[in-house]
Amino acid sequence: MDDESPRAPGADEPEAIGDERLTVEDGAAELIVALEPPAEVPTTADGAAIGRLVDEILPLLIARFRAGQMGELEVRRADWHVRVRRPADELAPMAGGAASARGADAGRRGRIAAAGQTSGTGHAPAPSGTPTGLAPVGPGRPAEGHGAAPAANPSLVASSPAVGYYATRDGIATGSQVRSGDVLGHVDVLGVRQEVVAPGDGIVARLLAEAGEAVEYGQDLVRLEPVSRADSVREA
Amino acid sequence: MFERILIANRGEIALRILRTCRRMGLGAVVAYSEADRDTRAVQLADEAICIGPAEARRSYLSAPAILSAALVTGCDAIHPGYGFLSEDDAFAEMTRAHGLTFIGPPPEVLERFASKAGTRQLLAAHGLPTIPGSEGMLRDDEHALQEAERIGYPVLIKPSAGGGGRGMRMVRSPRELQQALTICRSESQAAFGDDSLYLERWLEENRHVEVQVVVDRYGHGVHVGERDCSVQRRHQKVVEESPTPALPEDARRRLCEGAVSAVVAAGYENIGTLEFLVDRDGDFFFIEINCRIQVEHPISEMRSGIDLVAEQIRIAAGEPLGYTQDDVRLEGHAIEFRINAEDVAHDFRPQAGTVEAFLAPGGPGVRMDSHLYAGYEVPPYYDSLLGKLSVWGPDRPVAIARARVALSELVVDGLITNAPFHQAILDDPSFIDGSFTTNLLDRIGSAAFVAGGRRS
Repeated sequence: MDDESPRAPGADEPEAIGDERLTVEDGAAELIVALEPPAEVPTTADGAAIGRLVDEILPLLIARFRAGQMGELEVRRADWHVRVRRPADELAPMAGGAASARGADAGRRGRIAAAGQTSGTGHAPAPSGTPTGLAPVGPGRPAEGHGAAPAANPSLVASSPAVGYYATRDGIATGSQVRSGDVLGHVDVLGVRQEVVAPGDGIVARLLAEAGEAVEYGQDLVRLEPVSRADSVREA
Repeated sequence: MFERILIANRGEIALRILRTCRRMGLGAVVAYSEADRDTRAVQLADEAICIGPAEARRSYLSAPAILSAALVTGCDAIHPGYGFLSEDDAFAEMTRAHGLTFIGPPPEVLERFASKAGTRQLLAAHGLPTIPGSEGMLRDDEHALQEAERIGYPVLIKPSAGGGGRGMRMVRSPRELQQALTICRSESQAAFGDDSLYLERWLEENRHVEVQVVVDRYGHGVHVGERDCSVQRRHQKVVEESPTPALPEDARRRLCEGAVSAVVAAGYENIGTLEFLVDRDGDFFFIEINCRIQVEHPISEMRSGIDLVAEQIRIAAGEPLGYTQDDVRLEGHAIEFRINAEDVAHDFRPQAGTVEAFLAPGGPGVRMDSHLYAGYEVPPYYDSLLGKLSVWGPDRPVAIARARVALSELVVDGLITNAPFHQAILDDPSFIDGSFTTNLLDRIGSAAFVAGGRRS
């Protein structure tokens, strides 16, 4: 760390995607950079700002990050935030026990952030995620009887992707019809929004948390009555 | 003083910290990963909060997750335990930026002591002897060969970052050095994201002795004696004891007093451990400092009666030490055994699975720090430490005798543990007479060691 001149990861070949998000990798640390425009100015990100970020800020951040043991680091400014995350297979085993976190998804993750979503979260996909679009976060699973086989009329539950304060998205209420991948709400983590995503097509049966409520990772937030694909096609 | 502390760690150390919070009357919230929902600390805490999935990178190593958990649960301080983010100055800085206190050295102190090479220079300037080594980091193979020639073979190749033996190799010739450099570079790049290496003179038959210090914000510092951690397997500590059988009392006092006065002069704060190598002539050389609570802290607590976790919390809260070196009484002899879920017969392969029965040993001078209970499922994601058995006796023979009894009482059913390995160590003549060095286990070969212990 002392004498290593920090390279600008991705300065060579930034995988610029969408208009607000780019993912760059240099083999040592994966970067998910999410540029969040101020709420009321939904413009695309400023090219000069991205340039400065990539050329000046990221190299410093990476060098700092490399020197430490953190798995994830996030820096926020008024109009952007940067999250640096270490691939799982590079984490050193530690006395406290970070060890063989099976980095099964490490190789796959590079491409994930390609979706041009606004309000980036940089959240890694759930293990079942597909490498297209933003995979639903938090384990979407049949509710009722944790782990038991789904009953005849199973319901789906959207759960929290992170620890923070929850808010339901405007327009989502009991009875709303939603599709798999729809954003149902968000969890505010230190001022950064992480999306709560519908794990399947369905109708909102019950909101399980109130706006402003502190929620933990994996907590059940929205219960859905599933709608089969055939039903949705008929309705469409 | 704090009102409510977030414990951002797992296993036995989460439980250890929780116990002190309780004793001090402080609220305690345990932050846990999905894989640790059923641990003892989660069950006993005032509140527990799930911060992420099993993967440490997204839970115990995720600064945003831990900080957010502390804020939503109304905590005013974070105890990082050991490993994970416990010595990360950037995390300590973020903690402060969110109006919370990091229980450990303040960020600027962590930063000052973050580089091993820089720390050695700093403490050498304050009077600690250091091992002859390369000038700064190795630039290339040629530089390495020149430096090795100057230092004299054998030399030890060490990575600038990290610890735990990764990226480390001892070499005896230029040819070995060239071969090992490539391996060490890739190992340390993979483990720490940093491939810079340096060289140190290799001390044959060395012992690893470390000094526990406690330093407040106002420049008052004491030592709580030393610990001998020479029983190692592949640079991993297995058994620790205090005092060290390697040094006479006056040498031990010189070592400990030198260590505490150097760190106080260098501006250290909070508890910390200075690691030294002791050669066969009894000369000692400073190697590195650990700015956190150590796994092996119980033996220092047993000898001194000082609760080191409480000292950590008090100092982080800005309290003065309130006592001097003369008030620290170190009595008797203590030994700690790390009980790991490891199959010694199969190259110490880590084990995971359900604990069917757990019975902790007891009696005078016996302490068990463990998060196990019958029915607990040891997850495969983290390290294999199941607990620590520590024994105390008025002298070393009594401590060893108590250790034998305690190890024979320990029951962990359902998992293979390294307890038989500890019994073998207790039967080894070089352990009994105190002459063992860090080469003991690696030289004999661990499987042969256990078999030999059984025969005798």
